[in-house]
Amino acid sequence: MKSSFNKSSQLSQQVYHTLGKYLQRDPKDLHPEDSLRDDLGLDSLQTIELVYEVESAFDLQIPDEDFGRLTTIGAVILYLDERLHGQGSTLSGHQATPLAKNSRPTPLVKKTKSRPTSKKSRT
Amino acid sequence: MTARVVITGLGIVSPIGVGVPTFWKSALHGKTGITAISSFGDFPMESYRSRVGGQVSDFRLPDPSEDKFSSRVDRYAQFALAATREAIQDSGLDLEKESAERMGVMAGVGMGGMMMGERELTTLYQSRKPHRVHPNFIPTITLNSASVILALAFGAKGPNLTISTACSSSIHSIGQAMQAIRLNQADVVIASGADASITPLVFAGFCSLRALSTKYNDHPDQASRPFDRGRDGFVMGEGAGTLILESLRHATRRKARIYAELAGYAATNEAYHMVIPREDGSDIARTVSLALKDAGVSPSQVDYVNAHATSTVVGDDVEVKGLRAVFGKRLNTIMVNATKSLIGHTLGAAGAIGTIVSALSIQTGTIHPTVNYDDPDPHCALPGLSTKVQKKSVRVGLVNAFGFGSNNAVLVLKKFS
Repeated sequence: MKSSFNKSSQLSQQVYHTLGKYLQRDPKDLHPEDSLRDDLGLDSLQTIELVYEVESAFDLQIPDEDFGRLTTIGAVILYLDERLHGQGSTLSGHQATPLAKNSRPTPLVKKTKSRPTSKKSRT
Repeated sequence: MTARVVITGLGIVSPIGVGVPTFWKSALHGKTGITAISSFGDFPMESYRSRVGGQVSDFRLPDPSEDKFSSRVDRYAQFALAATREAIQDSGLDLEKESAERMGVMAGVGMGGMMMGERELTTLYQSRKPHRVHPNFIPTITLNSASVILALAFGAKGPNLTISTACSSSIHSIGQAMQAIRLNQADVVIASGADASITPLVFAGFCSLRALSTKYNDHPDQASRPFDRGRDGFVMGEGAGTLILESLRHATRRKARIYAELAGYAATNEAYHMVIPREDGSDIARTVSLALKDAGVSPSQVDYVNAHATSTVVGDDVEVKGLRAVFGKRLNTIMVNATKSLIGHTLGAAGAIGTIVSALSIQTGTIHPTVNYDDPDPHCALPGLSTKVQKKSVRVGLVNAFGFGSNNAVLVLKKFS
């Protein structure tokens, strides 16, 4: 069963709205565990477009070196929470734990072989 | 011996209809697609000298579940996708059975993805934030985005070229498609032309060039009037046309319906001026003669011309001078029509749409009327041009296109036998 992790926070709602608009999907059908690549089917260019939408929605710039952290919807929310509210911020009572420790920046063309953070670790 | 090339499928997106049946019905009724341009978003239209255009009003994007490509490209390439989908369906090609490596794409594009181009330019200049430029900007405005998206959508892995020679682009794309088949580089080629650049900047540019009609802003349906004494410039249009070309052998093997044979092609440059044609029409005459020679037909065999006829004062006059140099008095008996009188000048799509019209005219023996030919200009008199439908067998037809930069291109179509 999919978790409703963080969906109630204002930040989360804004992220789900942005993602839903880009993906042309009902935000209710999106879940924090969803991998941008494996579950949402985004290729590298589409991931870049999604990040662009997030940058525009939150009026910030996401550096290339942070791309590798943005593997799941939950990871995007936690990343934005860190950026907007600083390290150690909490979301709906959840500690903003470091994301995808071993992740690497996603190549622009070739699909990375690195796996997204385990869904189990998010529940 | 080089392969004979035939036309087996047609598809169109135009200001007088999306889809060949609607377009052809409108054309035969002399329906005009020229209307007032209401606005460019927040732009005040009244500040433009010309305020009329041939816009495609009934184009609907296909459902993403049926077409995942359209949402990724600019409007002109969306038109090309729609026209090509229709053309392939019309041809009866079963893409599952075709060799992908033997299927090519040749696309003619004049302006390309200017809608997104202008939007992103505005975003950058207003925001002063480079990261606000959309990631899909470069893939979208790269001029070959249409030919690439057609290859992706229809699995064509053969030769893939984009040809940009302004208003003659898609005569060249069709001509080069024919050459690829003649050279045995492909069995089937998707030959397309598309443009959708009725945008604030492009429209302003053509206004500044004093190339557009300005006298008929209150009567848009009268603005495009090729060969008429009252003409005062062209009317911008938008659209796409796609033809499926095949080697005769390939078409015969699969028992395809053949609209016409594509028999000749010529491409020249006048080396004269960026926007003005050589006044005596001699290079146009040379191009027509070369195309006829390529087709192996003599001027006496030609009975139809789909004229370039943009409705500019100089251009129409020069075209007739060129035709008269080739055909002499016989030009008076050749049927001529000007498709741009109905839809305006669709730039990169114009040649493809003219070729589609010619193929349909050969197949049906019907020539669509030219509208607004109310007061024939004696300097470019064409007795074979009519404001009414003409019914007469067409055995050999010409399609003309002449682009900025002195680019001339002519195709010769023959009734298939």
